[in-house]
Amino acid sequence: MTKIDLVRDVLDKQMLDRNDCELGRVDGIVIEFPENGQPRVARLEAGGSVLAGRVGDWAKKPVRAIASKIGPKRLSPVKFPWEKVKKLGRDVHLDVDKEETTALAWEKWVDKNIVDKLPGAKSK
Amino acid sequence: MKKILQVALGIVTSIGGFLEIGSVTTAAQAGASFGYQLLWPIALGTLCLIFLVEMSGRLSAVSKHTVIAAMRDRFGFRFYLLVLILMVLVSFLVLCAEMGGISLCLQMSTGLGFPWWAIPVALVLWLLLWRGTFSVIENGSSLLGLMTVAFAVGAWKLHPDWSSVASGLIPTRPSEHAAKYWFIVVSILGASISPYMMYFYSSGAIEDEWDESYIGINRVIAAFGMTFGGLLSAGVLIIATLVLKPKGIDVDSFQQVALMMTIPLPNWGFELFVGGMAVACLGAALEITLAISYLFAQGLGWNWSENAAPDSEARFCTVYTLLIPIAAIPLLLGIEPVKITILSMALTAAVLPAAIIPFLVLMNDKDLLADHTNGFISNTVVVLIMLMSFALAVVSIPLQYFGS
Repeated sequence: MTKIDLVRDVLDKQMLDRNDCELGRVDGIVIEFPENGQPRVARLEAGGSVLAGRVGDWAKKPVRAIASKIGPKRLSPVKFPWEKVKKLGRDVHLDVDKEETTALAWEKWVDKNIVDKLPGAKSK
Repeated sequence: MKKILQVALGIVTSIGGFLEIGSVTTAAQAGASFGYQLLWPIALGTLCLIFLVEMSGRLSAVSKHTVIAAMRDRFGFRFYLLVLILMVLVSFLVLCAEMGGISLCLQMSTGLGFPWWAIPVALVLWLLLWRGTFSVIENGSSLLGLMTVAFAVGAWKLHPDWSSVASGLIPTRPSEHAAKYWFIVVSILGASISPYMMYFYSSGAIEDEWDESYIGINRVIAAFGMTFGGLLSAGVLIIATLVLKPKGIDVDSFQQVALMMTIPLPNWGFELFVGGMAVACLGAALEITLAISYLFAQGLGWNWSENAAPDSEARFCTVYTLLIPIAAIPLLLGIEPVKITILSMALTAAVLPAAIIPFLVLMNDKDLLADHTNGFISNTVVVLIMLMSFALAVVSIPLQYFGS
């Protein structure tokens, strides 16, 4: 049996999809307590609201206010069920494809609204 | 051969530490006021940087993770956020100073005031990042940066008394003007040991796809690159000692440093200084801007690479696209670049511990470095640099007040 230290080996690590594309970092780990059963790791989360919560409760409100005004306006964090974790090492490898997730919502928003509006963005 | 050419990464990193507006102005100030007596902080800064840069490169080559990524991994989000905020604030000032340095060079060669150059400089800087690849930036800056070798040639041509030069390598206490002396010491160390150099170099190693086979050459690159910068910075100090000190001229502007170069090199001194410094400040500006973009992208887990089209690294490119125009504002308002520089050097020294502490932990992490963790000597050096950085952090702001 392999032992996983959630804070040391999972939290804050880089998440990668099936093709090693960056999906953000593990900003939060959610543990569920079912009514009749043992607590279990349910999912990994990523996003500004999760990070704000880690800084302090005071930070949640301003971050939500900003996120509701600019950007892709997704207020709920990106969620990856624990079952999708394929491999844990220096990074967290997930059995998902980046296009199936909302992890790149900000990337796409910035691309469409800022980068693509500037000349010469398509090639190098 | 390919590996030897990577020395360009060492040179461009070094330019950002030693040959930008801050270091050059401070080195000239040091020579003009205290002669060779202040050579030791340059030597000490060079030595510290050789170790820190080598470690940054080794970490990347072995773990395929940069210093920033490993810092978020091991120290968590809150520590990362603290470093991010401090570094963005300080590096922003340094970027502003470097853009000011380029603008001042353009002012000296055209006569048109530096605020007029703020927008063109910002545009060129942005275009180089937007359209250029990492190797264009790395090789271009380091090749053109070789113009600054003029500082060494100039020092050589003035025939300094080499035994007096050597005696300056040993730290001594000043006979008078102690506050100013220590202020310059802190400025030299603050201007040379800059955290963005470590972030840039370790990201550069990933951009250039280093692996474990680069561990040996990394040592050479770090040692050669930093010594290159340190020697040229010492060259400026030597010229200032021989040209300005006897006349009792105190350096308070960048223009004075340019004029000083015409004594050892009457025909080309001024042009070489203006051209060399414009390139060096541009190299430093590129390095800082990229370092801040890396700091965001790697710490937050975005896709990043200076080699890919902006379209496929949208957030990474947006960081510098927003940063550069904001950094041009103080220059447009006519705030003297040298004033910004002096403030930025003291603040760099003040935030240094936040950048150094992670090294001690990360460089001993077997998960990251396997058999290539720090040995006794490297660890001792990191502890000493860390203690020094605490001392610098404590004294930098009071000295800024009393010494400048």
